[in-house]
Amino acid sequence: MLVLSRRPGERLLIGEAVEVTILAVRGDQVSLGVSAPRDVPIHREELLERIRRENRRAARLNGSGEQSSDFTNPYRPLPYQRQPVPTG
Amino acid sequence: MAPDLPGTAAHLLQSRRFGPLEAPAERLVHFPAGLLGFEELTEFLVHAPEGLHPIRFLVACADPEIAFPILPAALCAADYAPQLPAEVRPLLGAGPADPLEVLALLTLVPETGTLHANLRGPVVINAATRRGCQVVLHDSPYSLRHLLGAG
Repeated sequence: MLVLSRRPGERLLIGEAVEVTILAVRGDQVSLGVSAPRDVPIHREELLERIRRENRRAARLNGSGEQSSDFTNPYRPLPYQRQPVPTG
Repeated sequence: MAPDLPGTAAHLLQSRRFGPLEAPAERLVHFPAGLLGFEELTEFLVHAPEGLHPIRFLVACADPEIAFPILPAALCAADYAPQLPAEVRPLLGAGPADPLEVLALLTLVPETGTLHANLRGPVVINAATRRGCQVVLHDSPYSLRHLLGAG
């Protein structure tokens, strides 16, 4: 991983089209501004991870009522489920 | 049975849950980016099992044991009207006025036995081009686990 130190007001360019500006640093929070083409999705990683987890649950929900394989058994403990997931 | 030639319309999928499933081209949807966590699965059959209407399943063609139950999102929450990110319509080959199907994936939470709909990461399908994608809604009031009822 490339590690860079930046100050508020400074920028990073990723490729030719993506620009990240450090807007402010307050305590343990960093405000970033991201400019990117419209076809480049920008996501908060934790939301993606929560949707991935919901997708795995959805894949396990069995329409026939059978639990014919581990994958379709909704009651199988999720290997990555270490703590309750907040709803929201 | 006729040999399953590549490119024939009625390709057959085998699923332990659903049995043999005909997969004609008109019921297949291409997800260029897959679904989150399942990026390698890009072709899905839209399967409507008898007796489960309006629930349908997205059955992965490459692994038919993997199937995602879906429900039109508007049936989950009457006022559901998410702002889709700008990249969605071009990705699905849809013009600004073309109709898109917005679907919620259903999940069962085993701890509570409740059935939920994911309204935060809806699946959007353009039936005209048979392309689909999963959309991530940031800064949105919709729930990742919208309660539908006891499962």
